[in-house]
Amino acid sequence: MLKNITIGQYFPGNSAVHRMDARMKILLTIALLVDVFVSKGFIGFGLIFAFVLLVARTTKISLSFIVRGLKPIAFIAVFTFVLNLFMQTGGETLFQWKFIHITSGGLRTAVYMAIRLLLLVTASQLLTLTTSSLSLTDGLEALMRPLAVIHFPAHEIAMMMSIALRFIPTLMEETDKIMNAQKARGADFESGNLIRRAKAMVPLLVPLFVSAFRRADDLALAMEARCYRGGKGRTRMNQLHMTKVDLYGALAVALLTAALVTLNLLGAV
Amino acid sequence: MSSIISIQNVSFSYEEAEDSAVKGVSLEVEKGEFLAILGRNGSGKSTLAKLLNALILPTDGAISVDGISPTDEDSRYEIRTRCGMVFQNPDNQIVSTIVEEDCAFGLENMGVAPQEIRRRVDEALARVGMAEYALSSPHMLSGGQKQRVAIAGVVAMRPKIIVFDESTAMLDPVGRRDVFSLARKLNREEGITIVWITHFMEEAVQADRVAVMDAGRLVMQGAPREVFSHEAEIRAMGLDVPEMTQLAGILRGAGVNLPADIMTCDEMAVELCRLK
Amino acid sequence: MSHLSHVYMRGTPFEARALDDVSFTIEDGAFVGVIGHTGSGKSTLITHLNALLRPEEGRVIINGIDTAAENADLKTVRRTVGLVFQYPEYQLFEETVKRDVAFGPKNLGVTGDALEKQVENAMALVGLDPALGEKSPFELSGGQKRRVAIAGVLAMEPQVMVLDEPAAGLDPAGRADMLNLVKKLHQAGKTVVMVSHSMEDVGRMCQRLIVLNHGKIAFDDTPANVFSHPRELEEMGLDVPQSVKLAIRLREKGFDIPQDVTSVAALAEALLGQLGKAGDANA
Repeated sequence: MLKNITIGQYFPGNSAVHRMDARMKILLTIALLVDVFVSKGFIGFGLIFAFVLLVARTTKISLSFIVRGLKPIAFIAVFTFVLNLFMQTGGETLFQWKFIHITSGGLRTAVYMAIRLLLLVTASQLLTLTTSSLSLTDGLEALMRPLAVIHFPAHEIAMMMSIALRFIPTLMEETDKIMNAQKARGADFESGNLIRRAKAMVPLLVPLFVSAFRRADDLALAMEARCYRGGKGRTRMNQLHMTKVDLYGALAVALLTAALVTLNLLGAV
Repeated sequence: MSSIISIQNVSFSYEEAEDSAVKGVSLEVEKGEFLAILGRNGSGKSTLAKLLNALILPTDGAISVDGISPTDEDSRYEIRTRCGMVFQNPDNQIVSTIVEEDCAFGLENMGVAPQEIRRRVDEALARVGMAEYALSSPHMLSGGQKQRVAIAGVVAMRPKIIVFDESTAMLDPVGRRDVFSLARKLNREEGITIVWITHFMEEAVQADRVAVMDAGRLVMQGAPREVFSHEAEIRAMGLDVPEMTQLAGILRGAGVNLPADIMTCDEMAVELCRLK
Repeated sequence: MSHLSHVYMRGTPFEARALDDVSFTIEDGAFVGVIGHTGSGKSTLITHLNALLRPEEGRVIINGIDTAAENADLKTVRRTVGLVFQYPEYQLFEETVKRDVAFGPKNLGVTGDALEKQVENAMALVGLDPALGEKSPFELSGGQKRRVAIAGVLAMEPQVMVLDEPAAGLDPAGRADMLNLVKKLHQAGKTVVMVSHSMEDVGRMCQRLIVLNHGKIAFDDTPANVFSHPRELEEMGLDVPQSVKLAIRLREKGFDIPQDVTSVAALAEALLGQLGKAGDANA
């Protein structure tokens, strides 16, 4: 069940996307996220969707695997949709019953927001699926290095993120195990109202936290035993370097962005 | 032979605890030997392991690892480059989501040049039989395989000593055998000194020497044969003796004329046939 | 009322079939050992026994309830079959031992004096001092924590106890204590199914062994009969106990050792009879 969550998992491979420099991938993902936010209209979303699909094909990761990663946020997407549907106004009224009031503007915003959210998660997923946590860390650290001037702890933050990513699958598995154990003791996680369900989470969360702290202790010791002393004097086995693939990637995203900007300008006219 | 680890009258107590976890332990570890440290949970054996790796410092007494005493930050770091450590829980010592990157972690911390890291990592993974998994993610591996990855990470640092702190306790029998025989191989073929901490007597039996800890003290040391022949004392410490030693004990108790130091099935068969 | 827990399973069409055409019946009051290397399907099997998993093909019948049936009364199944997972101490969460033990029965709707009684009984059965009842489970030692977790399942008063490697990770003294506890549960009238990696333990304790290999039942017989196939067991990554190995060797050398010897104690007894005779003849 929870094992199906793919967020933050790395999917080993040797595709062009996998081989790209982590720094470039992070920058391009950010650019893509910005694109998702600035674009309006279905043509723009269609373009981004096509692009994301193309990248996904290049990675050779099965689409069903990527779609499975969207499952956990499906609820949030639906929630956003409903919220926008009822709250946003503007345009003509499509439906009205007592206090419920749906407008065409609201509907559009709702659909846009849901699509944006899904595209956002898919794009970020492609980054984490094709970049190992350590390369991701290295990339982030390299990009944040200029901030060291203002005593920003770039290495520490990057390391923390990397470890968090590394332990997501472990903790997911653990959650599954604890859930099963509590179910065997008659616990019910599936029925009842929101408050009852929230209460049912206590037997799950307490052991999970206890275990997470224990693991954190163990890991800190293991890292120290392997001569970890923070970022100072550390080298890397895999050096980050830009290759032609990065150039092509950057060009592709630039083209996409240009197309989206043009669309926006045309729309504005 | 000269000793590579020397522990003199070492005590250690955790801040919050009233009682010391390790009390006045003195122990020499010979260069190239395979030493098993046996003891029940809470006997202080894991604390001793952490002392060897300078993860904690003795509250009393002196310790020296490959001639270095953990007096300051730099010497402690130096000790860790020479004395590697493999822990109990395979999940909690893996840092990266890729096997080879995890294996490189120690070398990266030591500031080794990238090409050299690459070479040593490939070599270490081949040595532990995990080369084909270099690009896999660790959480897809079995417990035994994860431990082998952890060992590769230590081996790549080319330590003179490796301390295994109950590294087989959470594995199934196949994984346990795998990891143990790998440690033996590293000991025999590379001459790496092994300190093997365990409560499995089947493993201790195969060591060159066994040291037994109980309630923070070192209570016995010697060849496995010698140590296990003290069946009553071993049992009183909450430990076990090999099944064959146990059988010999029962038979001797009933007046059968058998030597006290039988450990294996073969020895027992030979002795019994002699009596028949 | 049937006093029979019947399990019948036909291959679950998982991608890599976790279980494949597995059928067996466990009688009330039995003490069954389940053995097999990692990935042989043991965990899948035992999670079927209390309907945490329901068969995709075939049927599992627990006390007359077919868990595959759509309207199956799963609550009754879980009350009948108590399942203790590996390292169960990691599931503790309550502020006091008593409250943690009470979690299961409370979920089943037990309240008041009955609840109090069930919790007390369970704690007594696992040998926990009642004085520990008000302590936090997190303050206890590893072995004690595990007892609390087992008491938490026992407090639901199941007829059948299924334990996945109850002694995993404990030192020899802890192991012996835990295995004695399992024996006590059986003596107290529970049907016991114990998953274990240790051939020595199951050989000494169980009346019947089910050996799983690649999701299929390789053997389902008395320990003595199972151990008479040392070569097949070895191929499955399993081992026979040292005492059985020695017994086989000695039989070859002309010793008369009964086939049902599966423990050191039994072997010693068999040997003493014969060595005694030899000794007399010499004297």
